[in-house]
Amino acid sequence: MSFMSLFKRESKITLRQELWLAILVVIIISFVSTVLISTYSAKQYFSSQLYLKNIDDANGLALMLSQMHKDHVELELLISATFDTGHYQRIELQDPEGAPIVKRVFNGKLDKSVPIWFHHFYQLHVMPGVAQVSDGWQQFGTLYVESHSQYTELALWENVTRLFLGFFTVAITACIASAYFLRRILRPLDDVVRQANALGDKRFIKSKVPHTYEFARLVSSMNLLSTRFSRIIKEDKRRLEEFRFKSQHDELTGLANREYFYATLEAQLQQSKEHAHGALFLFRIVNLDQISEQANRVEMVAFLRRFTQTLVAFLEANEDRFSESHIARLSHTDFAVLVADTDDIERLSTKIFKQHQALLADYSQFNLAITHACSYIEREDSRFTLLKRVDNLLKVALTKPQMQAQVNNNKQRNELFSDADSWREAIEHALDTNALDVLLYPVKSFSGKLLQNQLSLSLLLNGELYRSGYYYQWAQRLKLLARLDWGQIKYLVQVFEQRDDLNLISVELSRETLLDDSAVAAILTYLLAFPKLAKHICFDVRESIAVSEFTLFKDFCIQAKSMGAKVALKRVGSAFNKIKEIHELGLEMIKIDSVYGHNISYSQDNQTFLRGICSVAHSIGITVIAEGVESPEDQKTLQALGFDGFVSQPVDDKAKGVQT
Amino acid sequence: MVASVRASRFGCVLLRKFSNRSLLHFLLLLIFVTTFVCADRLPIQFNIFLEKMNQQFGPVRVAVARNWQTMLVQSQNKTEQQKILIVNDFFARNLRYRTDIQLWQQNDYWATPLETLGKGLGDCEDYAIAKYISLRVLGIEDDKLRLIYVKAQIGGPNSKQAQAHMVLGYFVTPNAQPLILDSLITKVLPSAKRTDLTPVFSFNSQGLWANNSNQSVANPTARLSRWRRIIEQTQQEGISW
Repeated sequence: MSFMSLFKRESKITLRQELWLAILVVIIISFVSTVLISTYSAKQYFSSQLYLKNIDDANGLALMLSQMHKDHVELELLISATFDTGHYQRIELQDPEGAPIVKRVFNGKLDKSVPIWFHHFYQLHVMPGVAQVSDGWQQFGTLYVESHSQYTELALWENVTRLFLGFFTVAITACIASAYFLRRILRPLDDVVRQANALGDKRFIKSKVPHTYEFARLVSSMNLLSTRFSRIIKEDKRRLEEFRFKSQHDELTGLANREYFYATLEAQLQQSKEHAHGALFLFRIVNLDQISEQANRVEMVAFLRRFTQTLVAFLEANEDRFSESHIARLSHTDFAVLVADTDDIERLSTKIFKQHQALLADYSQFNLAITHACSYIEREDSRFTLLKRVDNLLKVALTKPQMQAQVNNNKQRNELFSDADSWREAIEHALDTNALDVLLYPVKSFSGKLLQNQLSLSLLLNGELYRSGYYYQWAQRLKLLARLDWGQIKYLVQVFEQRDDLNLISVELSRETLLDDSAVAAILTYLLAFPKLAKHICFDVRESIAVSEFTLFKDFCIQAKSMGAKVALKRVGSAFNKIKEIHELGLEMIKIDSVYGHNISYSQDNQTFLRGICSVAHSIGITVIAEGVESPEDQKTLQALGFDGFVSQPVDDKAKGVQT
Repeated sequence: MVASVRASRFGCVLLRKFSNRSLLHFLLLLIFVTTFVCADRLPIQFNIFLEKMNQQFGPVRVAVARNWQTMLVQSQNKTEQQKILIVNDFFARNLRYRTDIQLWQQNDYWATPLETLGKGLGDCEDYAIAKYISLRVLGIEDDKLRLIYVKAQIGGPNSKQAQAHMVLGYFVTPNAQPLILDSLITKVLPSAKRTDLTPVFSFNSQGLWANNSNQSVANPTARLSRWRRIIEQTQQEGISW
């Protein structure tokens, strides 16, 4: 731990810093006091030794002088000899009146190796040794002897220097030792703080219980909290899932039921309002009841299941011909398949027709027939017009006795570009020339408070701005979504500072981006470089991606959160229970798929499901938002169910200029 | 002076108040008052001195100590010459000569005035020290007094027998011939008359005190010196000057 970082952090001081301060204070106090005390006692010792020397020397010399003949020259010689060969500051013989008889004083200069300040502080004040010199019975004089204190000062100075260096080494060693012990002692603290931060971030993680008693208690308590949360959430989710499945699926075949399919269809139509690529297939099994009449009900159920398996297998085998598919049992004999982004329904129709022929061959004892009809989704199709059109086709097919397929090859021809290459070129051109704009969908709470602005990227194609709905399917098909995400982030970085309306924004990240390590790394680098943007951004990831790429998604959540960004899930619904550790992700928000929210007022089952999701999400601090719900009645219902808000339509002026 | 007057007036008040109490009380009070008054003049805390005497040598010797006190108090205002004679006479009357071996079972032992008066016995340096301290207490300056090591010729003028001896010399002026206060004879004689003594070395307590204070500069190590030990111990026994 460097000392610079010790003081860089403003206002709040960490425990580690406090401990360091305490250690340093103790070390410095003991260091200074040791030096001072030992210097002082050394000074005392030197002083007393010098004083004793003064007395003894004075008495010795006085005794000698008392015995000898008091000739002035002899006296002077003796005193000079003593002075010159010894270490004296002054030797003075005064007569009884106080007048000097012989006086010798050392006038040498101060030793330069002792600093002046030290000399100033540690000057020794030693009393002179005094002794009486007599001449017979008479007083002759008083002898004063003062030893030189300079060499003792030097010794004292050396002593201090040695002590200083010695103790300095000890202090450094002590610092190193304390650094080691502090690190050992406080290592669990980092984990505790990380866990506490995670809990604060709504991530209910568990961590290893450390050995230190206090930390252990703390971590156990926090772990207990996390465990309790995860158990509650798990149970709630399991109940929810059971309920959801029951309410949305046909018991017999496990396919979606009519209600769920209609909601899906509605949502699909709404999403692809501007630009439809999908198609709807309707299947009817003619004379199905003959099986139960002629054989038994079990046989009929078996047939239905085989039929379902054939259909699912068919969709799986032709996955490359469309991007999404939804399959449902609409009634006793009717089945529906909704495919998105398909080009060639005639081919699909032929294929499934052949498979059904093969299936029916096994049931030739019954007078069965499987008739189907299909049609592309047209612009501005509503659920009713589409269903009606396909139903009419089916009726036409049914008029003929044998198995029939009726295809309405009403493929949309009025697109901007006719082929994939032109699309690719146009999208790439828009990205390269930065011909972009963002459209803001305000996410509002029911009280009208703006929670965030959901962004969607508009591209300038052929000189006009087009909303994402227009080019999205093509971009997905051409695998350009990652580039679009990246383009959007770059665009945001450019305009974020200038546009005031870009506070609290949410940006969708595609599967391609999440799967691409370098793309994620590049986005995180931008966040690091623009912390202000990081604080305001929220990344939306589709629930299906979060489930299928859970590990990647979890890592992304932790990394994004560590940089101050938020993460939300969108299109939440069918896979909610499959998100394993939702309490550990620290999600900001979940946006419920419009499949669930749409027409919620009429679906008691969905209401129960959504109420459950809300309570689970709220228990771990996640905001719940409805996507694509426009009717005020539905919004009211959602509010009653516990939703926090909804995504509304863009209202800003820019939207008016955008081609739809 | 003012303090002493006030003290004696305070004593009188006390006397009047306690006059019908027992004689013992009166005496104790008297001792207390005199002690108090004298302490103002003489640098001796007689209460400590008397108490220590009582502890170490018993109540009998307290009388001698009190005599010493009386002698000091009475001779305070006398001339220096008179002080010399009174002090010399006091110790000549109250001490008898006894060698250290006999008295202290040591080859050479320097006793404090308390010990000397307590025993009533002493050898030459005990006499000299007691006299020196008494005279210093009476205000005679240090440079007029010397403790002098002498070689004493004993057994008549022609005797070859010599003995190490210590006397106290008093110098009227620094250059004068000293008067010798000796333990061997009771008379105080000028040094010229003492042909039996040959001076060797003299000393006093000059340099033992920090300038203008009665605080000793000596540290515990310096007390290893016999002379300094005596002075330190004397101070603890209530005598300081």
